[in-house]
Amino acid sequence: MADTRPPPGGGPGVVVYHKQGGQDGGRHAPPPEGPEIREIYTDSLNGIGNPAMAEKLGAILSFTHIGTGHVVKFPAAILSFTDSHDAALSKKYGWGSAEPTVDMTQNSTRKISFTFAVASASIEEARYNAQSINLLICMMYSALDARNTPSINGSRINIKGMNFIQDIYGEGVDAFITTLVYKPDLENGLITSKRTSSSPEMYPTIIKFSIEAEVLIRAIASAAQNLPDSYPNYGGSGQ
Amino acid sequence: MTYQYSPIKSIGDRSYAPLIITTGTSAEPIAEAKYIFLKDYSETYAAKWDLTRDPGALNPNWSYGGTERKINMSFTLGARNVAESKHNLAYCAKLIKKTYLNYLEEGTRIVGTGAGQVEIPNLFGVNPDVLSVNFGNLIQDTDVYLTKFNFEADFEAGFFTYDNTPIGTRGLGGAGEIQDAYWNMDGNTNALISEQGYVFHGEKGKIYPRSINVQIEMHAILGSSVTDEPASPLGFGGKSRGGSTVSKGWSLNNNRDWPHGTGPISAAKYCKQTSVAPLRSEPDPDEPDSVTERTRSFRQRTGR
Repeated sequence: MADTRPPPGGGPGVVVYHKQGGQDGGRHAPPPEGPEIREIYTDSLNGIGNPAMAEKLGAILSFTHIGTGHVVKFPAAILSFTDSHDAALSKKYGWGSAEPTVDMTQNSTRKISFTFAVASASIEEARYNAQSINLLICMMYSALDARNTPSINGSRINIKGMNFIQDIYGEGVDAFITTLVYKPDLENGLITSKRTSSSPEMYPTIIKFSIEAEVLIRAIASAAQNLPDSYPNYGGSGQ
Repeated sequence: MTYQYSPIKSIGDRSYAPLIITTGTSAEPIAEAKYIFLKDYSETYAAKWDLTRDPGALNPNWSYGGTERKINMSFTLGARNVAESKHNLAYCAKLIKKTYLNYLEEGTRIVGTGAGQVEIPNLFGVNPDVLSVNFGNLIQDTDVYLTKFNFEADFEAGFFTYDNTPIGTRGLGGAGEIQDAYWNMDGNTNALISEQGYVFHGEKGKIYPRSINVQIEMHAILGSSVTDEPASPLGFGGKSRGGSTVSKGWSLNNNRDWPHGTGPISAAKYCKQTSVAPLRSEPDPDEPDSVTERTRSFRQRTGR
């Protein structure tokens, strides 16, 4: 059977990727290396701890920046998850009619919001997690061209989180993250280092992230069927 | 650094980061550094997406309009004595002023209607000061506009009050007056009065809070109030990474992790600095050709 998957980063129109090789005839220093792939913290993968458990269960939450290919992964310590599917209707109200006439379904939108926590058990883990968190935050910004103009992909991010955050092919969903909130849980304290400079290190033991995003729906319509039976793909079966 | 109760200061000096807020203006070159009792902290990154849908379309058309960064903090300023409470109030007052514009022009406004209209003096302001904020590795050299400052005296914690109870029989004055005098003469030596002992004052009609709850909101902006250099926009690649469109490096290109510091470990790969050769191509007609000119143009654009 032919693979009918749309190209990665699908969606409406044409996704423009930048040309390779730059626009300056190679006069500049070589560009930085390939995309950064940050896995979850591994030093505690000795069977205990949050990352070890996540690895064992395959409970990984990953974010991929569409514009650059940078990837960052966290243990999927998801605290809440909401998937909202809303249909916008075009309604007409008339004198003498008890109900509005629905003229047309304008379109439907899918929005996801979820919170997850990143916990650290040592200063080494906290530093590693801080770099991973930095990358996630940086992903909220765009790739820039030679004139510092943001790319068409902006801060579009592909998110994959077990069977709740995935598309019908079992891959991540492309999302327009509108809000990302970084919120340390201060009741659980801070990990600090011995102060050796004017800028001491303070790492929250637990940091909570809240994310709100509108999701692109990756599907190809056919004559026989609109959205596939597997949409949305939460991994359920038997109905 | 402003006065702070010495045990708190010594604990802070050992293992905690002070909140340092600098105005960076030559007229008022203050640098407030204070150990705070942090109660709440959050950073919000809001990407401005314009998502429009054609009727019936499965997916939207999109355009990206940048990302905003806001920082919210709540903290408590505790006071162990009258002097610290006064410092706390002055600290708050100084920062509260930064939520306002700089009112440098005088003008008039009209109030009332019809025959009752009168013209009265008014002040007109320009941009508020840009503040540079540091708070350990959480906030590093970040330029902000202070957009909100909530001041709340904690009434349950109580106040340092006026006391004119006579001390001795020689007419030296009230307890508060004497404590004020001793503190001012003492110069933090604890010879005349201890830090914990300065709990009354001689200013009738005034009360000084033992605890103040503060909530501030800051809107991070690009640029540096220190150098006035036009800022690189935040993102991956871009001009500061050599203008190569395939660069995946962070645009600040300064070998530092962003936005949070990560201590002694080396910067993440995408934050590592790359050297960039000067561009020898034709100058961009829209681009100012010198640092001075770029700075002037940047100031014109931003009003800074």
